[in-house]
Amino acid sequence: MVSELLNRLNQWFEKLPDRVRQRRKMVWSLFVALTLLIASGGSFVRIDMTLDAFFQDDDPTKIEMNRFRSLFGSDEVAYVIYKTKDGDIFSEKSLQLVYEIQQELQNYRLLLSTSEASPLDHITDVKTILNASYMEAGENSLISRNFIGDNIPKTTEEREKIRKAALAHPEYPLLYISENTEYGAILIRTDFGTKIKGEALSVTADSDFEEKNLKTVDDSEIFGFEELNEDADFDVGSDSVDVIELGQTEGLPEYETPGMPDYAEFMRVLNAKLEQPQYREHLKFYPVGNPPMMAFFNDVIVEEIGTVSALSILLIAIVLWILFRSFSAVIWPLVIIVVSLLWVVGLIGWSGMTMTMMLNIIIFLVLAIGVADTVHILSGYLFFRNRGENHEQALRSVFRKTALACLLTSITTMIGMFSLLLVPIEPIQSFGLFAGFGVFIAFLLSVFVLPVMLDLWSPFATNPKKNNQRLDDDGQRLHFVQYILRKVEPLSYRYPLIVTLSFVSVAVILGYGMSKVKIDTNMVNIIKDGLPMRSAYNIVDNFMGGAGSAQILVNTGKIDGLKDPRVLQAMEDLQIFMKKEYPHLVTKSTSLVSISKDSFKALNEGQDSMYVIPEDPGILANTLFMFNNANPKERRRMVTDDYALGRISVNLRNSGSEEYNEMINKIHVFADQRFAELKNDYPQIQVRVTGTLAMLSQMTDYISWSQVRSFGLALIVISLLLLLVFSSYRAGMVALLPNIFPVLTIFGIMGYLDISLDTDTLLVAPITIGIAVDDTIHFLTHYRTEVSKHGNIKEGIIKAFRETGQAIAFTSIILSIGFLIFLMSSHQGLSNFGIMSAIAFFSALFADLFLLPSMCMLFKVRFKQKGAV
Amino acid sequence: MKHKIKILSCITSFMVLWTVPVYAQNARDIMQKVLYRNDGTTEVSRQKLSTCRYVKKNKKLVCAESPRVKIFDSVRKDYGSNQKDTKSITIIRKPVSEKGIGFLQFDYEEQGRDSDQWMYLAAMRKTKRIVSGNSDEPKSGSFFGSEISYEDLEARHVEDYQYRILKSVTYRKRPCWIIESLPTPQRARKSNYSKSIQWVDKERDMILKTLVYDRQGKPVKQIVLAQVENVNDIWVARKIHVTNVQTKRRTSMSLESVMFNLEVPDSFLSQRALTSDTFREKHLSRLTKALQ
Repeated sequence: MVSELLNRLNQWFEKLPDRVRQRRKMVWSLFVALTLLIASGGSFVRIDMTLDAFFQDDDPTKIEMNRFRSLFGSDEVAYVIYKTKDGDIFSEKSLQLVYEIQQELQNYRLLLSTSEASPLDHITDVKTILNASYMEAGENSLISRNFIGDNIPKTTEEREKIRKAALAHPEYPLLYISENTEYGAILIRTDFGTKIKGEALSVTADSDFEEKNLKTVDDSEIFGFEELNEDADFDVGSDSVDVIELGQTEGLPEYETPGMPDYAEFMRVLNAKLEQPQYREHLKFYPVGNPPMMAFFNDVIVEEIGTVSALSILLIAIVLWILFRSFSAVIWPLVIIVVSLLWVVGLIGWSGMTMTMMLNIIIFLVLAIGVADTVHILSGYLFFRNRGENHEQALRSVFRKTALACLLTSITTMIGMFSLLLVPIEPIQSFGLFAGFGVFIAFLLSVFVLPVMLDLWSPFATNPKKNNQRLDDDGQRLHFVQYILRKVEPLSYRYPLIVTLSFVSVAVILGYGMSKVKIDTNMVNIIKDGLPMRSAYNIVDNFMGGAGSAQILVNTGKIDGLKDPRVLQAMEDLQIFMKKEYPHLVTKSTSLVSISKDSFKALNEGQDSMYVIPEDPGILANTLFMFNNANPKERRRMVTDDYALGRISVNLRNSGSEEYNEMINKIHVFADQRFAELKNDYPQIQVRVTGTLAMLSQMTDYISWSQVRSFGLALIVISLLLLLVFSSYRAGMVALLPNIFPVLTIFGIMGYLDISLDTDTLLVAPITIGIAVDDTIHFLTHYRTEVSKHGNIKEGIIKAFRETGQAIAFTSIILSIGFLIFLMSSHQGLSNFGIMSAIAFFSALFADLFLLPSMCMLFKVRFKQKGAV
Repeated sequence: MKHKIKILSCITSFMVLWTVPVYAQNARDIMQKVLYRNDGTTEVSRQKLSTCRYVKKNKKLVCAESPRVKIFDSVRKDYGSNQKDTKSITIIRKPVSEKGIGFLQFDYEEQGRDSDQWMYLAAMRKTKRIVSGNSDEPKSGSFFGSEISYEDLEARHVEDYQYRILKSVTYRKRPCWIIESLPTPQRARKSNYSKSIQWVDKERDMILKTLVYDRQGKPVKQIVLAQVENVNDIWVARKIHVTNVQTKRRTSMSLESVMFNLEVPDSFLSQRALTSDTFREKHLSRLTKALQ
């Protein structure tokens, strides 16, 4: 059944070039028209590279994050570390300049016309050692003020006193100042991620009282207080006030995900402020945190992906030329690849779906498959032309032999990609969908348009120069790649057992390495060493308390729960536990605990022995009352107004998602245990890690495991398909191993070299499987045709080797070199991706040239059907 | 002056152009009258302060959590030739955990002199003088953790601001001036606000609505007075709604009961009334008996 269908298809494909060429005008005009139409959709493509994009709206992690945001605002901070020329952040000049920066960032609005929006409107607070909140006990008085304030001390003596006080303060070192006082930090809190859908982000300034405004001023005039327009009489004190009850999700607003360009724009304006000459001559800045990181990805990496893709296309063109020595053999594949890409991007645009950074993989996958399809057809065409066939006949021959294989490879790869639709994460689904389409588009264009292209301009020189002296048995010219192939050709049929065993033993070694592969994404380490962004992170990790943060939400489920000393005690124990368990990661944690202790000490004339949580609930309530009066802003950051939910904000040094995940689990386990005793009084008490870090961990987890699973699935589906196509269990089994081998190779190498499987290296797998399966199918279809003709396995191997070996080798060489361009990227992940892909292609090449024929020989793979034509 | 004069608005524009200096003087006079409005020599009241974080639901404000309610008794007495030196004392009644916490505040007419403030923490039996902020810097801190800040409560000095009448309107059926106040440079250094706009009742000399803008010029608070009534010949608002659009919180203050010009002994407005329960309760019970 199947083989009959395949034979029919073969015949249909053989006639295809003639049919297409008869209607070449139609094909050309359809090709151009469709390209224009589809590609025009490209302008609608929306790319979202932020974390939120990976979460569905009802994802628990996202709901927790939104709850956190609605209670405490954004947790995204631009943390700008600075180092001074004089090496002392407490020198008069250093303090003065930092004061000026702080003023400038706080008062930037005064320089703008009131209605003008600025990216700096994202700033909600600017904190430095100068305006850090400070509580001091005087004689019978309590002073709550900024640590240094507006008046910079003029004498060395005063400044030394300040330095001492700052270093002794429980909160300042590692947050605002380094312990050697060489580094300081400007903490810029932002509102990123808290824009409620359909609402203006922050309160904008009112418009000026111009003549036209004055005329309309009346009862309803609002002067920038639009949102209160109809609610002037909303009475919080009324008995019938509308309240959304505690813990309800109903009241949680939906937040808009900030776009990458928003971060970039914010950092551009911020950096412009910082890099003014008067500051730059004395201060050096190292911005870290999510906004600078996202801006970096947006500016450097996204831009690089463009140049890197362009470069790899260029390199592919060069390699095509070296291999084929013909411009048309360079131009046509490139046109097909570029047009395929245009179609895919256009379709994405028309579909209206949002793409994530995975768009890049689609681009490279289409690139790889497009190269494979066109090179197979081109090299087959040249193979037959060299054998003396004319243009028309060579086209027929190559289509009969190769087109079916191309169809099969496209279908298998497409199915592999479509299997991703089973993963319930939208960006992965749309990736799978469009990657699948992309692969098929490349196939369609290669099969239908390439013949008319070759008709227009073919790569075969009718009068070849005799500069190539390598000849085959029939006295024909041999390309140097073919020449090498001839040399290694007999290996597989002479020593099938040795070859197979060597592959198996290498596979075992690689398999061991694979077992050591870690799934770990490290957002900082993917930036290459030596780049300013990476150095900034090294500084913040070495001298300050790190730029990462985790937020722990303590939900007591009861109003005033956090006024209970036992709850605070449990929170303190948790904070101590984290610091003890992860001393290299956790540098600091702040919560209502430190506020209570600091306030209690201040209320007790500043005695150090009173830096404790008051045990008496009444005294604690009074202490918190005092603090809330003194610094409501700080209090709001730590606990909700009703004291039902509190937050522990943890400062972390950089690490990978694996260690972070482990830490998050340990925190949950410890918290469940420690807070258990409070269950009687607070039955709903819950302690959960949230914040950007938790989202990152969850996302990495989703991506890694879901993809590992779905690629496994793809492999199974593809094997079944091979089985069906070749209607032979033996052939199916034989085909499987050479496909697993390249995957084993990359994962094995990653295991030995300690390269972890992250969101970037993970992408090697689908591309590898795609290419490896392609090679196998090409080889096996040719082999099958030959073997079924005369039943001679050795003859089949030789024929298949000669006809497809060149194409397989060419595609592998072209793609490897093309992907190696990624080594130039500032993105370590993309670099790893590039080199791993190159290794994978070569490993697939070796497996298909040596392992596959050896196994055919060893297992005597014959196909049931009798000769096709 | 690049005012574009259209025929219909010709007259008004003409007046605005011509009378700017006179208006400026008038604006100041208006505010002077507001600040010196008769508010009685003493005031004894019981007040309720309710605060919540709000969200919009179906385009209406609702509390995102149960409002926190504080009930307190308050006594004020004015001194000095202009009755502009003020002493006041406030004692919390509810919630229970904060019961007995008290505030004593002295405001001075003298320009540039900061208010003095003491807080009594009942559970610790401690009185502390509260200093918020470095000298010559804006005061931080809020009144009982509500959206009303210390600065909102401080007595204003008419010389600290420049005034400008923006328009004459009818607001909530009352004839009002809309007046803009900008702090003088000295004042601006110490203020959390860069500007405020007030709706001033022309006949009753009282502010019915205030909008304030933070130091960056962004809107921050709206203060609305509602249920204005005449008590002992003094106009008084039964409700005050303070909405902070930046923190998304609203405090509603309601005057549960109030009496003006009761006899209040000077000795009551002292730290003794904070620390001594018996002393305080003796006087308070007498004073609050007069309240209904």
